[in-house]
Amino acid sequence: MSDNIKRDDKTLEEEDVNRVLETVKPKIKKSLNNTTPQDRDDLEQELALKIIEKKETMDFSDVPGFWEFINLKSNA
Amino acid sequence: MCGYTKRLNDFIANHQNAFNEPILQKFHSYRENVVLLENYLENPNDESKEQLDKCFKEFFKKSRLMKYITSLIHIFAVDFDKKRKHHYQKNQLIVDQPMTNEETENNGTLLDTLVFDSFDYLEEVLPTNIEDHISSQKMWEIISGLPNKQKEILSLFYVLNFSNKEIASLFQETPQNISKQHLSALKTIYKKYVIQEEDHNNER
Repeated sequence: MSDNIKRDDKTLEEEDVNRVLETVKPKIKKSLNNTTPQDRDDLEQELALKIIEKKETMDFSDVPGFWEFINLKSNA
Repeated sequence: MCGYTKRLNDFIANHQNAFNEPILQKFHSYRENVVLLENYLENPNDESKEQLDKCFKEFFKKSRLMKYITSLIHIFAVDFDKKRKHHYQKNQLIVDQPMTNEETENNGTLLDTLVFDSFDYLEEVLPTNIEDHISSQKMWEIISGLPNKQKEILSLFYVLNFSNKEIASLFQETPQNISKQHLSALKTIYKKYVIQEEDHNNER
């Protein structure tokens, strides 16, 4: 049972990563112009790896909720 | 702001500071988010409050992630190119770099170790004689029958890809003469070939 939940979490996460990669694809393609044509495939792959790696390690614990945000800004 | 309920307008006015923030403005530009807030203001309960809170959190997360990733892509790409350029500059493909290895005590260059003077690879894989390239028996007989000089010109021209000018400088003649000899060789071959063909057909 817990195995199933774990696997679901994993596929969800994979879908999430894929969605992010798909969204930033045009940006990646554009940034490939920064390097020489023979290095472009390498760069594309490195970028994808980097994004996956960073997405996993990013910390979202301090993301405010709606009310928190409203209060924070209203009092400021 | 037409279409908004009075409650909503009041709420926005009361929290003008917060609604001036770009992130909240963007959040508010999606209809479904406005509906969530309206729902809460119409009937404030824990469920609608929680829903709005969760939605905003997701939105905030996503926009932070996207901002981070887009700048990451840009910086990483620039950095990547810098690194590659540096690498290529340090590791250039130089064939005549000096050999400073202890094992090879001669002070030659890398090129010396790559080339063997004693062995002619080109001759081995590509015979320069045109007769060695003819597979048809009939054609071979015709070309073998040509004068030596014409054979040589054909070899240089077709096997080694020399130009008329280059061949001329080899023979110390004019390019025009080489061209003439070349054409006459071709003419001879053509004539003999066609005549043989006709003879062959007549025999049948």
